[in-house]
Amino acid sequence: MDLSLNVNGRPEQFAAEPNELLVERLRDGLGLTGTKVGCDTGQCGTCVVQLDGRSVKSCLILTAAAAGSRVTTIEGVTTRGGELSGLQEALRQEHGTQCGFCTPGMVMALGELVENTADREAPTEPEIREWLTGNLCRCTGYHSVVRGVQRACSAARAEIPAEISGAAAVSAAAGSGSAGSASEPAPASVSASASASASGKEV
Amino acid sequence: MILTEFDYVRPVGLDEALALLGGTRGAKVLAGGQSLLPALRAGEESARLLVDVRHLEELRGVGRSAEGIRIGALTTLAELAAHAVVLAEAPEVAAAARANGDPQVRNLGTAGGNLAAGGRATDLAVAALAADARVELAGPGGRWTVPAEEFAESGAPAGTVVTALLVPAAGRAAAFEKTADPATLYPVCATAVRITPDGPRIAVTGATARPLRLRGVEERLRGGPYTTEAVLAAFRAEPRELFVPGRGTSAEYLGHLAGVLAARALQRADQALA
Repeated sequence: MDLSLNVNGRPEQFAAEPNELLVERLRDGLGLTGTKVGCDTGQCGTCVVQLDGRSVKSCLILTAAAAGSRVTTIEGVTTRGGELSGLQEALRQEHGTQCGFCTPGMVMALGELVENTADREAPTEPEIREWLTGNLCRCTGYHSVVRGVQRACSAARAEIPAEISGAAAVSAAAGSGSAGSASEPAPASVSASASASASGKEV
Repeated sequence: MILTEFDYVRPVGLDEALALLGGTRGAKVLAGGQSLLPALRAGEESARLLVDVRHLEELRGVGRSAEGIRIGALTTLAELAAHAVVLAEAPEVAAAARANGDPQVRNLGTAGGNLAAGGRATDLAVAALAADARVELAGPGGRWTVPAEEFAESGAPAGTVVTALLVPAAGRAAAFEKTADPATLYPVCATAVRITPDGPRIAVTGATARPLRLRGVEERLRGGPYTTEAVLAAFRAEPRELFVPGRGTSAEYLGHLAGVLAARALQRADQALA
């Protein structure tokens, strides 16, 4: 099939088999190997990319089904000059990467959370952990990832780039963290049981 | 990698989709694909043609209808979980949508697909049963609706597309509870309840072979009170064969778990009603 896709702002045209997965196009067809294949069964989240601004697992969508959409991969998050995004920088400062294999998927998944909550209070720690349900880190280092997201959200709210507001961002992150854990875990719009069940997996 | 081969087509309208489904042997509906693609990869499902309906605007949207809430089949689970009307008037449906998978699966997975996937691995059907919802289908013979309970048993007939879920509004007197398998996030047991003037409606999945209304339990609990002891006793009176053990569980454990979750849900729905 002849298909077209906008990847990281670049229009791409190619021929693909109907049973090709989006992750195969990105990695093997377009050479964008920042997107990883961990489990190939939709569970590990290392293949997460954004499709029209929403995080999705690129091993769970056909290239043909994604055709015509806007895809952002981890390569599209970093600026051309190699500058890290606010979220990436915050994760770096909080040592939220460990071995790094799960990091591209986490950045693409968490980027949606940070973006979605930009116009309201920073997400609480339970919200952040719930959002990480689909990303497995086998270094089991979720604590530092959570701190990284809190730091990124604080920095964004302070409207000061994370890299030059180190001390301020740390204290703000600590403040929002304790506020988050003291408050009701689920957002007001969701029942407590749904929150508890959806986060049935410890992260 | 998906080793099985199939063709793919993206119809421009529902009529074209139905013509393709009716006129092609081995044609299957593809929506969000969050159940179908893993099944195709695992060889559990096969298809000659995937008819991708994900872009059909006519199957989108959530709105009020004469009977309550009309949920377009392509509404994603993420949209459903966050929808203000659904949260206010069918809270068990919103909570069940939110309990499925993870945020990425909910971003692509759809209400219609979740219902059509069938079996006991998804969460929306049990809420549809407790809500006494109806599933709207389109096929060569036009459009019609079937009770969610009937749909959970028979599934979508070949050549049809699920077009909407029609949910009566309940206010807050409904709730959903789930214990998820930590690895798969499938329900070990999920239960949804709705308290009506005629008594409670109680549905269970995960612990049972498929989503089921438990009318015996409902009858035993009519008029309340929904104390944990009373609910557990009502579940103990069910035949053990009702509960079908999965990974590392027994029928006895599942029966008890279903009772515990139903008690929590009933107590919360009852409180919301008061």
